[in-house]
Amino acid sequence: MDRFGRIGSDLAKYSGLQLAGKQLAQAGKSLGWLMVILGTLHYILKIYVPQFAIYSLVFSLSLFVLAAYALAQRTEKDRIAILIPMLIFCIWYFIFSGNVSLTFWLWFGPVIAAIVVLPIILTHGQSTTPEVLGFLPVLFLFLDVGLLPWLVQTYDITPTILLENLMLFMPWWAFFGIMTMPTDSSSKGYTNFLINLTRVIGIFFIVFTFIIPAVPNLGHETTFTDELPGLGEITEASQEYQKRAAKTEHPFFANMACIISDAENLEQCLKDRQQRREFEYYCRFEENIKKTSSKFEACVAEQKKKREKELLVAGQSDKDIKEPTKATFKVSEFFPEKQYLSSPSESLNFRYPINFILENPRSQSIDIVFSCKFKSKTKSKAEIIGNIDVGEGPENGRDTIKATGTQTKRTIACTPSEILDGRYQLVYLAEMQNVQSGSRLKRAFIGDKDLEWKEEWIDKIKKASFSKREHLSRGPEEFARINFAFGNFLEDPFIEYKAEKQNSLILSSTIENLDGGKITRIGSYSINLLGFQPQPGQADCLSGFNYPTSKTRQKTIPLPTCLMHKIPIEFQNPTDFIIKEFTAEVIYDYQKERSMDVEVKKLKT
Amino acid sequence: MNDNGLHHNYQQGVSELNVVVLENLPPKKIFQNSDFSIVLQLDNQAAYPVTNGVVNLLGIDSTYYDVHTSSQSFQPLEGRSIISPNGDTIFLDFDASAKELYQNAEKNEQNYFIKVQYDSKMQFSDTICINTDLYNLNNGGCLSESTKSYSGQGAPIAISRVEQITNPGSNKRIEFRFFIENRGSGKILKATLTNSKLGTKEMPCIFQGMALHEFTKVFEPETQQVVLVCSKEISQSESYQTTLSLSFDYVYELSKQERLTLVK
Repeated sequence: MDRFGRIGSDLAKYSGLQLAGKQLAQAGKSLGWLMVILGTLHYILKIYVPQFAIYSLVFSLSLFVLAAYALAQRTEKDRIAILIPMLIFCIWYFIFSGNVSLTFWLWFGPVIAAIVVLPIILTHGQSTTPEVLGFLPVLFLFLDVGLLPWLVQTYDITPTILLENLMLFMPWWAFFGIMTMPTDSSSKGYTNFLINLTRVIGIFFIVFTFIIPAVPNLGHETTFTDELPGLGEITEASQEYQKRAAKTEHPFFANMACIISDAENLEQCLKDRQQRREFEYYCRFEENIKKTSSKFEACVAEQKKKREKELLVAGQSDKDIKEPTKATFKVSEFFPEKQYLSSPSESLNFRYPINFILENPRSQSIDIVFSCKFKSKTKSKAEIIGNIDVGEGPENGRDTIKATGTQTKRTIACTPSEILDGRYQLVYLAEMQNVQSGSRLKRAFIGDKDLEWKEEWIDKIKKASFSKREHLSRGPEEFARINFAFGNFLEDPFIEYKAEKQNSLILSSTIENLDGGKITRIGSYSINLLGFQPQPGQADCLSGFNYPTSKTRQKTIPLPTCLMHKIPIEFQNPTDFIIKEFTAEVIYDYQKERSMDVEVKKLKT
Repeated sequence: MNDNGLHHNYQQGVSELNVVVLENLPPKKIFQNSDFSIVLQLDNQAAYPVTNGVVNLLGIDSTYYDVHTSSQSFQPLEGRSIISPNGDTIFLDFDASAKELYQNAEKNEQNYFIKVQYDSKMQFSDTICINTDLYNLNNGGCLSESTKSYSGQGAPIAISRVEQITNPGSNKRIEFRFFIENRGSGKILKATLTNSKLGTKEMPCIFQGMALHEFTKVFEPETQQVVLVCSKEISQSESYQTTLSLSFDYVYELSKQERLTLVK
């Protein structure tokens, strides 16, 4: 503790800011304040410096230990007593891999009970509170490495705005620091000022990042099982969310900017800023246009235009379909991240395994083509192709399996085709071929009704049949979803028909990429509107084959739009109204990938 | 209080045709590819008969259900009276078949409407005091009431208030303003004045805002009330009691929302 203080003081002395250095040193004596600074640094590195990812866990564990000291300082409790549960947790979680079996706990339970109870007896109960407090750093460690994203993914929780922002933007250790900073510092002058300033900034951060965007979206419902995740599994879930964080403007800055510039339309302002950030990310990283380039703004404007067009045919998740078709790569515990070889040529025989799981609840006939490659991280050398062999007769390093039943599980192993030496990013690819995904859309046909009828019935029908945003098409959250809409006005679920008028209906559709992979082929699509007839030459809005795709991670692929001039007679003028659901299907190939960092080193002789 | 039916006046208060979906018909959860029935109980609690009744089931999506007949008319139902204190009740059975769920959806919930339209009637009758000699405070006769309120006439359509305006002088005239409103759970489509009498004599009436000989008032869904103005010349100078009676035929519509849940 004093060492940190001294470092701050020395630094300031040499830079000629001795007085400020002294105050900084005084502040440094508050471990809570130090945790805020280090926690913030850890957070910034984790979110904005991707190269830091591999050291993040080490940093987090260091903060975990520091947290015990900060907590002891803040609560003026015995630090050894605080460390006891933390130590027990570390032994159980890291050495015994979080064993929850009954046989294990039959002997482990009494041992830890003795370790916990003994100090309580010896101190006449005084160590009870610090021992309980010791679980706080454990909780924060889990939160920092990604407990929330893991819970969301594993238990299929629909995150609220609050939860989403907590997952994306919460500097957990810094927050812990704020909690453990002294409430009434006895120090004077700048020290007190620094601590209070940190606290105020922390409160502002929390208000602007979490509270303003979240109100009133608090809470969700779900159920939990008793499985305990590994730290790797939790971190894996967290990485997905960190990728998303990079595409989003930090809510703190977004809220500040919008409150200052357009407080009256706060919601719209935030939406616009986040959208612009998304477009900027796309132009910068997908299109590789520099921000200073004149093309950059044009690219952003084009993306905006595209999005506006796409918004016309948005879709929504089908909540009645709880089991969508989905695929996941799961990293095995045996995955060899680091290899020490006596001869580099040994790497040619080395297999990097990964588990692949396809949930196929509709038992579709899906071919899965696996491939892999090694991208060098240390040399500017071309990538090395990997070979996959799952025993089905590989061709050109790829191998294919057929999905059977409702679940297909395979461990696939990748072997490099050339000698490995150094650090690589190993990329596994799985292309699911001929996946079928469908959507449905409800419409109300009301014919030619007078104003009185509409005044009486439109609201009733809306409440009864379209209250859950059912004017939009609904499809399961699979790899991709076909969204479609049609009507006198696309967003309007009520379709009128007036005998004396030209009754054209507009039909529009898109294919939306939902799973972060690539739609590599659109084999066919069809929108099943039996009896409706598009205008001559526009039949491709109802169905098509081998529709072109850019093979990128394009979020939305627009399909042809058309006007339909013939409406089936049964929908033209019903006595009251008719509710009818229509369906659409798309058959496509989808590629998912998973990257792992691997390292091959020569053994020193 | 004796309420054995013999002394009960059914033509008071608000009562109407009650429509209820029977418990478990349809079942709370309908299985795919199964047959089921939607059974409605129609119970006429009004004091007047219901005729020309038709029931329609609206908004059931044919993608998931095949309702064999979604429209049924029903026989006349007698209202509650001394000879039939419970009123008539019938059951209507709508046979239907469930189809399949979409892909691997776990359920499909959809709301639908039961719309019932029928003809019925309503009668108003009261004894009132006619007193055109307003200036003679001690004429020893009855006292007329300028406003009188009513709880209803045993139907969903009700005369809730009557205002009496007496015009003294050489051309003695009395005017009644009947405030008619919908107190039931549905809506009045139209009402026709079929009879209006003061004592035994016809009394000319006019719906507010309508022409003299238009006896049928079409109601808009939003404005389910109207004022009927009736007037009559009075020759008698002394006060006297007499009956005031009106009869209406009306068309009424009820709609209620129900739900079907299709499961695997």
